[in-house]
Amino acid sequence: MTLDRKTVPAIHDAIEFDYILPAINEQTLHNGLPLYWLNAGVQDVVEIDWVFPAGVWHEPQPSVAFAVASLLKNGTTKRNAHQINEALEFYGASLKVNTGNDNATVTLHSLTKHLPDLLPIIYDLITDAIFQEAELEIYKQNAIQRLLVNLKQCEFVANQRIDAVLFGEEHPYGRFSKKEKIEALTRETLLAFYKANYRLADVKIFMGGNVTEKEVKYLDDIFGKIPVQQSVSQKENLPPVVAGDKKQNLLNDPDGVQGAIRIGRLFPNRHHPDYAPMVVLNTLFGGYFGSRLMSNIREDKGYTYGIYSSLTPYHHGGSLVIQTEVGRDVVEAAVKEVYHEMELLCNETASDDELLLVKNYLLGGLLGDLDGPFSILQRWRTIILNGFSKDHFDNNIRVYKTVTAAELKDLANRYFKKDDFFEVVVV
Amino acid sequence: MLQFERFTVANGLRVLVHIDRATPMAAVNVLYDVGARDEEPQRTGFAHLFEHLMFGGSVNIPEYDEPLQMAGGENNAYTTNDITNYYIQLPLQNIETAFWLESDRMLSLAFSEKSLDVQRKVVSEEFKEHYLNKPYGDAWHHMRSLAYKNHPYQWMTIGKDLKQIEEAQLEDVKAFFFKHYRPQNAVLCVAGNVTTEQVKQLAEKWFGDIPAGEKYLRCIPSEPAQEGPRTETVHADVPLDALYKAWHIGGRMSAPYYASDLITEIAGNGFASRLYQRLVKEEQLFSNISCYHTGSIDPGLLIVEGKVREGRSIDEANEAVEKEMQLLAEHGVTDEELQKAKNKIEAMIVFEDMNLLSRANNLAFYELLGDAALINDEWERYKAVTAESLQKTAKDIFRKENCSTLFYKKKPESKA
Repeated sequence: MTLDRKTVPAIHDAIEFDYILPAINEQTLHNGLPLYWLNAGVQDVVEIDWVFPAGVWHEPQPSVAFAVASLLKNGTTKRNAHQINEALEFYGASLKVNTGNDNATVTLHSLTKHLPDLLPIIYDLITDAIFQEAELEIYKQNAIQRLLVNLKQCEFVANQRIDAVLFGEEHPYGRFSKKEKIEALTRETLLAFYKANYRLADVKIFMGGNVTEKEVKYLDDIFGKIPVQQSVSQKENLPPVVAGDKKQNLLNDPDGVQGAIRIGRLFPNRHHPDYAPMVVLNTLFGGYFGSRLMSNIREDKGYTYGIYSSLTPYHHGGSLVIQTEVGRDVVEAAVKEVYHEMELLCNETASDDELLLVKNYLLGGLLGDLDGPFSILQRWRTIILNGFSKDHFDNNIRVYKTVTAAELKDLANRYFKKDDFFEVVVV
Repeated sequence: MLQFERFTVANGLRVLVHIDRATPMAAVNVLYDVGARDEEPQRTGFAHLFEHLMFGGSVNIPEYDEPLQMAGGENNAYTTNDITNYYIQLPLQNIETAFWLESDRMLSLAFSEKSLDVQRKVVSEEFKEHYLNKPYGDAWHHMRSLAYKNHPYQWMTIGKDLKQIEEAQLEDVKAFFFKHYRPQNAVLCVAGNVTTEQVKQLAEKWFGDIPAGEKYLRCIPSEPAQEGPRTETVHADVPLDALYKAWHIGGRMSAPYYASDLITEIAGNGFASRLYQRLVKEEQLFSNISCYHTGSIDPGLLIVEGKVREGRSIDEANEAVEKEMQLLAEHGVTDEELQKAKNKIEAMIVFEDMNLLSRANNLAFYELLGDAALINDEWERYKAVTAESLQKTAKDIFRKENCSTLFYKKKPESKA
């Protein structure tokens, strides 16, 4: 019998699978601090995240949130920067402080066995960082030099500009890094921000990996003993969004051989009922390798190495942005094709086959995500930090499985109107 | 300890099976024993261009990605100077789709003009995006050709010159395929909640009738020992001067490899490393610095690279790096430094093992090196490095005549 190589082997549609988010333990440390933890995976590893309301949104002046995050590890009353790094690296651990637009997250990755040795150091820098003048000066110098290198790249400049155009340069979500702003940083500003925004009382702790009650106790021993004052909820002043010019063309490098294109619009965050179906529509449009944009602009025309469309949700809003770098001579042609693909979304209903493909792809990937301890923890972090319950996950799965092509066309007609989009091109 | 079983299909395809009962996913990894080192000097970038063409449809399947995505799968590939690796992760239930896809493109590609035409352009854009339109993007181009005079590591996987890619013809593509993409030049690794019997049956069914082809016999010019220090200076439109230094080190299977790896950890990986602490924090000669090695199968390079701090001279920066490396060679490292480096490697190995795909990929790579079981000895080999053996390796590496230095300077007129 000859083998039939033409016919696809029978598959099981990923939309038929069950998707179960493993439960997380919710408890409080002795002083009332919230801890969310789960035991998963077989390797002897652990991730702990300490999440603070210390993102760009909260900073009193530009560049402060990033500077504080970068310098958190650079000295406490007890330990200097080198001692801290030496201690962390000695145990093969990695400690990163990431600042987003809303939160700052201190993330530890380590072998579980080293946790008792590491936690006191982390407690030290979370509660007693001192931001020495000398460290700040080195930071400023090096941050500016890094910025100068980045500003030579069209994609970096384009990323800065699209957010500024969508939200306004004064808005925390639209702000971008500038030399003068980094130069203007002072130790006092950093310390004040640290004291106000890295308060232990405001932390949410997430832990996942090969961990049990024993590791919970380690955490409690270090982080649960000191009394914390109930946090006064911070005032959430919503600064107005001030959109910029509809189109911006920048010549950043006269000799540049590529143009960075960003086409974007504001789009609501995860709380909006359109968000979950938009995840499906965005995937179809530009969210995976088989997407409309990739098929047309890379795989058919060869204009680019890659083109993507993505949703970026924040606590107070969000955006939908299409991004690509294309040959300088095909910038206009590529922009035209992006709008053409939007028009198709609005005018034609996607075929059943394509929609099934997108759903299977999206859900198949999610199945993999529900496998590792850190990706499960990541899902829970999103749910909890947004104030959702586990239902939110199940609801999303339901939407991914059941949303129809007609609903997506309707959604496209509400959100993929050319006139609502802003355009930035940087060569 | 990674468990695996192994068998060989009659046409020479080596197959590894790694069983993980906990995961709902399966990983299917196909590693081809071909990389940029197998290219001819006038056809560089070909192995990588070829990787792109492997997604342009095979003899019986017009579209590679679509059916895989329909099966809930995700895939990608990469090319290095040594190997080309293709990998798929998909729900276990649909594992046969991966066999179907991978076996058909091993059987034969469709060799379509259109696909070649488009991928030439895509790769050209990739070349521009990563190597031309990026400050310091061509530094490795200069570094490789300075450090290697004979060995094909003298060019990057993307290729020496855009033109060679633009000139690629379908005939070249076909020849390359039948020379390198034969079952006996490949390793298949399947990981997930499978049985070896099941994988055997699938492998025989889908890969069994692919002709073995001719065995490719690698014949690569080796790099003679470097006999004197080399330097090169380039000027470019960059905001800061950058320094790149390269020393030749032993190949992947040589005994000093593990010591070299630990040296890079101690010298320049992390904020507690020597170079960072002394030259960024204390001397403030650099705004950043790192030390790593190319990890290649044939003898590779140990690299120190850094951006010189505004206002400091690149010569002074260069001397300071040389002094640090001399210190390492003359005085070795402390026991604590060595322990720290080993602890980092231990953690890295465990973290890598969390990921199913990375396990499948690593097993296939070690099989290519000679035996997948080697992977389970890695940690022991690192542990066996002593302060003495490390210093011996350091002495051997950090000799002046073994070093190539690239001064990557900003053009006098370019403003910071």
